[in-house]
This record gives sequence, C-alpha cells and structure tokens, in this order.
Amino acid sequence: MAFKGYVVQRVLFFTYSFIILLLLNFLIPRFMPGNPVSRFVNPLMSPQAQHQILEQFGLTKPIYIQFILYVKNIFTGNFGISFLYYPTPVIDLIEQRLPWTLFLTGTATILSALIGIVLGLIAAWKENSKLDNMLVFISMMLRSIPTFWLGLVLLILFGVTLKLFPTSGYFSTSFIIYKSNVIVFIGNVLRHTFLPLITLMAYLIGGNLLIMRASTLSTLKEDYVTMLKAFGYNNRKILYSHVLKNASLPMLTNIGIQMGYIISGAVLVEAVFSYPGMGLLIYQAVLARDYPTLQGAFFILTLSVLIALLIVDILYGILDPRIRR
Amino acid sequence: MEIPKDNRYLKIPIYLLKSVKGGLGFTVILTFSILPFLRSFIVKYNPQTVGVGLPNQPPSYAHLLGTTSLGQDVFSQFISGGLIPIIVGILTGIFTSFLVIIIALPMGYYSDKLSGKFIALLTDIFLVIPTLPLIIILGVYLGPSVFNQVFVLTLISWPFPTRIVSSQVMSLKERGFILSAKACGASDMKIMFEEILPNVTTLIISNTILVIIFAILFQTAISFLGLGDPTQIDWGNMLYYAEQSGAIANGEWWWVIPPGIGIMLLAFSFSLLFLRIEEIMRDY
Repeated sequence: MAFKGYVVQRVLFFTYSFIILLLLNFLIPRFMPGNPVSRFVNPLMSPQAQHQILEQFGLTKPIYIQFILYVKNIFTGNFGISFLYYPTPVIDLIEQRLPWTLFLTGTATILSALIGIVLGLIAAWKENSKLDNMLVFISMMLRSIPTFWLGLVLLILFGVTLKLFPTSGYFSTSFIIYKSNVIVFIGNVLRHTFLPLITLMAYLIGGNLLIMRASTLSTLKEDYVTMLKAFGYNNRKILYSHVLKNASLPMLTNIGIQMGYIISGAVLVEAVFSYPGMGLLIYQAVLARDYPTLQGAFFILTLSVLIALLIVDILYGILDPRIRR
Repeated sequence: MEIPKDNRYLKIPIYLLKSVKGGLGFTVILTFSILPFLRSFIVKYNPQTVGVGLPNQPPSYAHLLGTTSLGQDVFSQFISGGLIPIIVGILTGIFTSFLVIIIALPMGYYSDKLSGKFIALLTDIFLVIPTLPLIIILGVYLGPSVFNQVFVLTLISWPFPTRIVSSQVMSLKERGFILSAKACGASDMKIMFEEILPNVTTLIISNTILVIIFAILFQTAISFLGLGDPTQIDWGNMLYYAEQSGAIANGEWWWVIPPGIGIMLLAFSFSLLFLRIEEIMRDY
C-alpha cells in the first residue's frame, strides 16, 4: 500500500470517529431516561433563569436546530458553565486540567512501552526458563490488579505510613506563596507525579511484556534468524540489531489500541491521588452530578485519544517499510 | 484449532475441570459465589449493620478485619462483596456473547460487501473510544443499579471480541465445507448459524471469559467511583466508602486491602480458566 493512500485512509477513519463522537455526545444526554432539563441547567436557579439558559442553549427549539447549535458550540469551545465551579465555563476548567493528564499519560505510555519491550524481548529469548515463567506470571498478576486499588495501597504504604511521597496534588502549594527556582519546582512536580505514574504503568507493563514476548517468539521463528544463526552471528547481535526492530513494530499498533485503556486508567489514578487532571475533574463532576463538565470532559478526552491514535497510526506508516514504500 | 461440526465443544467443561488451572480457577469463583449465602454461619454480624463494633478499629478477635468508620464489620463485608462482581461479570459475558454472535457473523461473512464493511468500521470506532469515560457518562445518566451496570458494560464490551470472532469467520468462509454448502444451495442464514457458528463457538467462549474479567474489573471501578448500587455491598463500593471517609489518610489498611485481594483473586481465576480453554482449543 502506498504511504499516501494509507494516510488518507487513517485521516478518513479519524473523521468518521469524530462524527460518531459528536453524535454520541449529543444523543446521550437527550435520550437517556430522567429529566433532561436538569442536565443543562442548575436546578437550584430560579425558573426564569433556568428558562433563559435553556433558550441560550437552544433547548426549546426542534431537535435538528439543537444539533446545528450544538455543533457550533463545540467548534467555538462553548461547553456550557460548570455547576460545581459555577460560574466558570467548562472549557476553562478543561484548559487547566488537560496538560497534566497529557503529561501523566504520555510519560506512562512511553516508559511502559520501553520497559515492556526490553523485558518481553528477554522473556522470549529465554523462553520457558525460570526468568521467563516469572515474568509471565508477574505480568498476569499485574493485569489482574485493579489499578485504583493498587493506587490506594501505594498511597497508604508510601504516602501515609512511610511518608516518602506526597499524597495529593501536582506540586506543593507552598510554591505559590514562596517563589522558588525552577529546578526545585520540577523536582517537586516529579515527586508528586511518581506514585500516580508507577500505578498507571503497572497495568500497562504487564500487557506490553506479554505482547512483546509473543511478537519476539514469532520473529525468532523467521527464516532470516535461522540463517543469521547458521552464519555464526553472535546471539546478542541477532537479538538487538535484527529481532528487536521487527518485533517492536506490533508494539506500536498495540500502543494505539491501548490508548483508550490508558485514559481509563488515568481517570481512576487521578481520582485516587487527587492529581488535578481531567480524571479528577470527571470524578468530581460525577460526585456533584455536574453534567456540563462531564459532557465537556468526555468530549475532549475522547478527542485527545482520537488525535493520539492518528499520530501513532501515521508514525507506524513511516516506520513500517512495507507501507512507506 | 478447527473443531469438527459435532458437539465436541460441549465437552469443554469436563476438559476444563480436569486440570489444575481450570479446577483452581473454578474453585475460587465458586467459593466467592457461595460465601455470601453462608455468611450467617461464618460471622455473626450483618455487613450493612452500623455500630456492631467501635468505629475504625484494627483487626481483633471480635472483628477479624477490623471495622469501618461506621463501626461495620469489614470481614463480613468482604465475604459478601464478591457476589455482585461475579453476577455482573457473568451476565455481561452472556449478553455480550449474544451481541457478538449477532454482529460478528454477518460482519465476517459479508466482509466483502458494503454492509459488512460498514459494521466493521463502526466496530473499529467503538474500539478506540475510551471505555471508562463512556461507562461513567452512561452510568451517571442511567443511575446506580446492578442492572444498569450490566447494561452499560454490555454496551461497551462487544467491539473487541467481535473483531476477533469476525476475522475467524472471514477465514472460515473460504473453506471447502462452506463452499460446498453454498453449492448445495444453502441460504446465507443457514450457513452462518449452522456451519460457521459451531466452528467459532470455542473462540466465543474463550472471549466471553475475557469479557467477564474486563466486566469484573470495570464493575469494581465504577462502584469505586460511586456509581454502584448503594443498597448492596460489593468490593468496589467498600473502597468508595473507605476513600470517602478518609480511611486512606488514616492508614486504615485493614479496610482497603481485603476488597482488592478479592478482586485480584477473582480476575486471576477467570484468567486461569481462559488459559485452560486456550490449551483445550490447541490440543483437542
């Protein structure tokens, strides 16, 4: 397949997904059982104010006009006003929170992919050895541990009992009061990010290891590996300069598939560690039944996943010579 | 991999139990399903009753796993808490496998036609939409109940197994026995449900188990976020109440650790069943 055709196909897929997302986000609040008005308007406001806001959002108009208005609002970044942080617009909340989530999930994705690749390669190379069995067992255990529970346990152990790491937030509030130098600040942010990051990575490493192991095992059976062995190349060289490259390619596809999972994990981890990203925003919005924030956060999070997926897909096209040609 | 069209897959339960993995997994699952009904013989406290002991007490002889902030018995809650994840998991598994049959067979069988391609595109799109945010948003609108959890989890879990089963259907439809059935004039329906379905049953069963694991982990996650049935005790909402009452900041490990161990054991047991089924598919 030519590279250009491949890119066009991926961009088309992104467009279709985006349309489905637009529809889902429009239909869910309107067609679920219950009182639809309460989802757009704060029920504590006076009836006149409620009606005014309903009109402002066009909710008194026929459904197709509502849809046009809704699409217009989405493209102008108008997601309504948060009930919880009234009267802050939802888009402002998202602007503050999104970078932290992208930082957390991005770091976790890259680090766990690298660790998964290395450990999976080793496990496959020493197939059926004690080390291999142990790595596979640990990965399966890691995948059975509920992410949020692991977070709670690490929090109790390292945050509360041993007091090694802070238990919430993304930097110490004292920095707002006493301006300090940048390096100390970054160190402080990293210390706050450490536990959430480890928790999020635990699940991902398990899956990555198993996939890399399977992919390496099938690559090792290829004819060219046998040939290299017959030519007397040393094992280490075969492994690192030939097998590694070919076996890592499926990992990239896997990262694309994982994206939704990573976001799901991040929502839970942020809720546990009070890490002020999109996940905590969603958690707070759920507890306060803050529907506009919930809708806006869902839309933006899903859109970020779709964009990340598009980037990974195009990267795959660049790296895989069969497509690049 | 290819199992002939007799009812050999009905023997799967026997093969399953006649192995260490299968037996162990099944025993753990059975134990957690029966324990809630035997609770009154094991502990004298009702899991929901407030004030059976002093609040926030560490483990003691009277309360094996201590007490909650409301003075409820944690041990009693722990042995009752597995039933809902198991019920939600298995029901979600069953409903999802019906959806998979209805969607994956035509999707794989008509993969060259526009209709098949359209279903495949929709499946791919639902595969990339992040699961938990969608579950949360549906859960918030539907309200907390066990039935709604099953409904939402079923809506979310079909795309992955559908993809796997439909690609198997795609390869099967080129095989000789399907082509000869076509030559004999069998209808598409008959071919799909009488010739292809029996050949993908094992694959559907093994994927159903993966769905069950997924559903159990997500059921506890949404209960942890406060979207569980507040009238029932499950491991997820045990952790929700623990978090809400500050058990983490107080370091009350006896309240936090048991539910997680339970979830892990349950998910791991289903993984063992899955591994065993994979072995059966390979060997028989």
